[in-house]
Amino acid sequence: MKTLVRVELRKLATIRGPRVIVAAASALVIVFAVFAVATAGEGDAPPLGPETLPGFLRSPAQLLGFVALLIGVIAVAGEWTHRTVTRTFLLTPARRRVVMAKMLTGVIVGVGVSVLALMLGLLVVLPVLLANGTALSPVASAEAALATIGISALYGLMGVALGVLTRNQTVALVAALLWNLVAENVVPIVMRTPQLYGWLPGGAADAVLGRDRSGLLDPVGGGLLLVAYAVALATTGTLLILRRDTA
Amino acid sequence: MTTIHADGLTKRYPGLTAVDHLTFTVRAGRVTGFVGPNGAGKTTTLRMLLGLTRPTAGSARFDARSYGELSNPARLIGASLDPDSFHPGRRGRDALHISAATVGASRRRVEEVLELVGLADAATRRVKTFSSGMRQRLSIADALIGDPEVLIFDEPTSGLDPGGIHWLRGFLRMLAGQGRTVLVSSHQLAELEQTIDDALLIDRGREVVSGDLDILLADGGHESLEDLFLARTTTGALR
Repeated sequence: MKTLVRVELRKLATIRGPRVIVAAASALVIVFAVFAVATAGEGDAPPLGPETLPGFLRSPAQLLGFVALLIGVIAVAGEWTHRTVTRTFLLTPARRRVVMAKMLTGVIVGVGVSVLALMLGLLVVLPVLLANGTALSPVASAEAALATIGISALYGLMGVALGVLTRNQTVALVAALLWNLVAENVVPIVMRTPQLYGWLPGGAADAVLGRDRSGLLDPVGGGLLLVAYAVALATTGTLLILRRDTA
Repeated sequence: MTTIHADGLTKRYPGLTAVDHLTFTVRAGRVTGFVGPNGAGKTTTLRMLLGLTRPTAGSARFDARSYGELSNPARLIGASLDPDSFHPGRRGRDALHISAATVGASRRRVEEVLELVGLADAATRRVKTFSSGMRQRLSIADALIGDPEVLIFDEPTSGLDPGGIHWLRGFLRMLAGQGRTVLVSSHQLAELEQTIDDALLIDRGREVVSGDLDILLADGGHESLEDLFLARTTTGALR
């Protein structure tokens, strides 16, 4: 399994798409960092204080989660788009193992991307906070960083799961966006059960991020729920892959 | 020395039987040509041998084991099915490094196969800049990465220029001379005739004839593989 995961990481590292996506996301997080310290105390923005660092560390969670999801989708659906899946299954006929390796890769990519981006952002934020003698709130900051890294890892897993299920990059991304932007808001209303949101993937992500909204699980519960969604999607997709001939 | 056995291999799709109870053996140390008209079921058969397509009935084995039962199949069987199955944005050498890492082959082996197929100088280029002949050579290099005993090629001359086709002929003969089992599907009958020892001719999913090419031609009074093909297949009936 270790070899397969290394191979999957290498596949992503040797094409431009994921590298460009990670570079763009890292640049955006640096912009977040500059914004966090440069606009402090201006307008509605709070001044530099104990909440500045945790606030910055939590701010790119959605962005990094989406980036991890995107790369997770590319890791799987890209194999069908570029017909490389034939070689993949020739070299490793055990398709379940390939899917498992890709799921682990999705988690590793999610962690790696978020850690890299947050580190780059910290290079901007920390010197300013230290120069101003601002409290760093280590516990709250660690919780915020873990939430951002956790959501990125889980979304990387979800991206792989969506890719396995759809085997099509565009369909996977459109499905993810439609679900996130439309379905999650409409379903609880249509079913007249607002508390349902807490059990949907978006609610689970909000729980991991510690958002203040009624009906959410605790962060660990939210994380486990997201893992359950990813495993359910990937299992369904894997069963389809096992049954179908490779094009 | 590994022999390929197909036993009653059958693939049915709704309204179509692509391969119909095909039984054959491909011997080691020989180049076997797999020929048949378009839609005869050649590619489907090769994909069933390699576990990419599930047979409706029958089985395919490499000695005693099916492809899926092999723990590291590329160490025993190398296959070149589709030269366009490389990511266009990946460099040629990187594509081979990925295969090598998967099967446990060394980086030196990557350089060896690049030299073998004549791609060493172009290996740092992205695949999308390769000509179709270069992609074909890359696909052949990929099949060789695990130094396998059995080699399966689907239309390997496709995209190759005359020099490339000449090279491939010598290359396939060299592989068989090393005792490897070589199965080649091709429509280039005149070219194939100069390369193969045995022929397996199928039509509409069924075996028409198989065996030593010289004996097949002599027994049927055929002048060439093309003559045999035209006499025994539906394509020939269209003349």
